[in-house]
Amino acid sequence: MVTAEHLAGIALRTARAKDFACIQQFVEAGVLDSSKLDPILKRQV
Amino acid sequence: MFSSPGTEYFSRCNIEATRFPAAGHGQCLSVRGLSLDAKPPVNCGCFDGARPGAERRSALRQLSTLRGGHRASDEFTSRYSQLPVILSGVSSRRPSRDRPSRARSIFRQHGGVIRTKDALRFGIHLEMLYGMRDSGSLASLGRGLYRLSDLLPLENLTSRGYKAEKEYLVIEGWPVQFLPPSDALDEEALQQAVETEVEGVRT
Repeated sequence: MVTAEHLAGIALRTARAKDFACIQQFVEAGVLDSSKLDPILKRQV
Repeated sequence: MFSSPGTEYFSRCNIEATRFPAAGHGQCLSVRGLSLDAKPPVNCGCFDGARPGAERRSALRQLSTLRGGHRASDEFTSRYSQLPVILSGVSSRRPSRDRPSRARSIFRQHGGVIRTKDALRFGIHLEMLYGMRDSGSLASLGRGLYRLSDLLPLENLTSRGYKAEKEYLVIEGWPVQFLPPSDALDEEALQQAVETEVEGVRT
């Protein structure tokens, strides 16, 4: 199962309206760990 | 010859396995005229357990002698299922030409993808596995996981009866589309994917 942080990164890269909605759901659900997400975004997006 | 899980292998390697009931240990191996002690670590009738300690060290010394003084300890593990790997090093006969085809056949029987430990269990020894990998016959999918290079895409699934429909493969009634990773982010996401449980199912 791909991690939520990587899914958020992929969604940001794809950048469609439904991808932003997906990220918003992740944030509201509190499943994103910023300490894991930040390096991914810096490295890959 | 007695019957054991290793008998076929020993026969191919020109190793004669004989029974010595008088020794009180049951069986022993005769390799190129040299008899290995009928102790558990070299007793090919016992593949199902580990016997560390003095007996294992004794077997290591004997294997080392047979290998011309080269240490066998780095190849020898305490599990008897590894024994054919060790003895391949002392065989006077090189693996026959049909061994890769036999290994390929075993791979195909198991969907084309096999882990190293399973390959050993199915009778493909490490020398063969690594040789096939180095020659390009096998592709390494990850640590200890190998796939036949000439396997068609998704053949490991179609060979199990899953039918292709348009761009999908129908698995247990679900149309599933397989997409290769398109960039470094996708690859990293796959490499760092985690195993979890969803509704009681490990995925």
